[in-house]
Amino acid sequence: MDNNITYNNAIKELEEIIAKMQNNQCSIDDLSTLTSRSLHLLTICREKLTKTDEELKKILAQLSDEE
Amino acid sequence: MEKAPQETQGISLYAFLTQLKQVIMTQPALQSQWIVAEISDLRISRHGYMQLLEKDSAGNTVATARATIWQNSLFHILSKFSTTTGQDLANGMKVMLNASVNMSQQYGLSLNITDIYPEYTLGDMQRIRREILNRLSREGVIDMNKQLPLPLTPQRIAVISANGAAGYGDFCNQLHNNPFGIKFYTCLFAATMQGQNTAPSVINALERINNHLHLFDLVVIIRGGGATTDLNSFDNYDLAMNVANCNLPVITGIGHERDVTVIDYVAAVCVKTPTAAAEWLIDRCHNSLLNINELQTAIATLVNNTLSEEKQHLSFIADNLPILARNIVERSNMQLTHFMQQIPTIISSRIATAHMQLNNFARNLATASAQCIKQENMRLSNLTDKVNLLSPQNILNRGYSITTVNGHAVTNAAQLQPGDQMVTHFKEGKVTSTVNK
Repeated sequence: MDNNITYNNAIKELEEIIAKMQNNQCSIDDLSTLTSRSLHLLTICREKLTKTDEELKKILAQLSDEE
Repeated sequence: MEKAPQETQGISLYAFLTQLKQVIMTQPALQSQWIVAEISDLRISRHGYMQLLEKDSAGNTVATARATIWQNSLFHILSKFSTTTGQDLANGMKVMLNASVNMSQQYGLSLNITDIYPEYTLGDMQRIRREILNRLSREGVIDMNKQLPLPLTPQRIAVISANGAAGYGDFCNQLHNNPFGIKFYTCLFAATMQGQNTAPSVINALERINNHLHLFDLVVIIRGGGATTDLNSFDNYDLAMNVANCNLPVITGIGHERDVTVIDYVAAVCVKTPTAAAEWLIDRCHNSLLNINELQTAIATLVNNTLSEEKQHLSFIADNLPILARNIVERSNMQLTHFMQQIPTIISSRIATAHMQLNNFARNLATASAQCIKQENMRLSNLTDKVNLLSPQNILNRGYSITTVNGHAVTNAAQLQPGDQMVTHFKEGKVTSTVNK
């Protein structure tokens, strides 16, 4: 799945999923797909905040050296 | 030039200056006067030394004087000034000082400063700030940076600070050791954060950041730690323009508790200190984490609700299915019974109808047969009559006779040959005759 999704878009999609569930637009058949999609998005969001992006760290360290 | 009279030897410079000193020192108007001037060449050691200036509107110096704050007043004046204005006495400031003329035969004229009126400087700084802010408003840039959307997860921070400054260290420590495990990425764009070079240096840092915009979520301008120093450098139009036009949201935390500078007004977010800037960033990211948790809880609740609703639905169906099935069987039974009850009636009715039809057929058949026989009888009778009429006996009865030769009736005389034996039949009897000719 799309790991390159932005945090904002991931949150937006999560809110859409919730709205769909709240409006009873989610059939029991879709429930499993939507649940696993939302778990995936939640993981992406959480990782964006708490998991170190080594590549970015390297780039910024390089930039600091140049500065 | 006036010619010196021959009888006088002249007086010494010292004596002359002593007379001048006496004149000056006895003039009340030259003692303990509040004067307004700009400070330059400020040097503080045991005493405070400075040059006081006055400039005209074109910026030309129109008056200058040396001034000294002696040790006994120095601490009082400096602390009074910094307490009121929130900043230290510095070059370029316009001040109102209580000055007395001092005249030294050796060092010439100078002013002794014994008091300061900091509110004047504050007012002057505020006037300058107001003028810059008005100009930025007129030019429509004052809210430009505020209008940029603030990122939900501001983790990639371009920091403008003095390299090695305590405030920068505090900022980084706080960010990187946040209790929520949020990762922050900081990159220092070093700049001079005090003195006259502040504005060009910070502008230069902003320009360098501008070359790497895609790497950052926002810019933090921090200065802090240690004693409060001059902040006038941040009340600068060019710097404010650059901050306002920055393509990333700018947060300022330039270590000033009392007042805000011009760049604080134009920045997207203004906090007091570098630590507060770090707290702001951590709070914002932490809120995002909380939001993620809330979303997760909401989804889990909704999924559970949906599942339990479906379970209830299923169990409702399971509970009701036997009853429904029984109802259906009962209804079918009733229908069957009803049908069975109707069958004899329907059969009797059908049989009766068939009987009627049969009877009708039978009746029609008899009538038709009789009719047919009657017609056939009539036809036979007619035929019989015709046969009777045409029978040879009947013809003989009517007086006719029949002539035969060798058993065959003779209908033409030419058939006969002389000598043939003819038999003539009558109603009663027959005669035989021979043909002669």
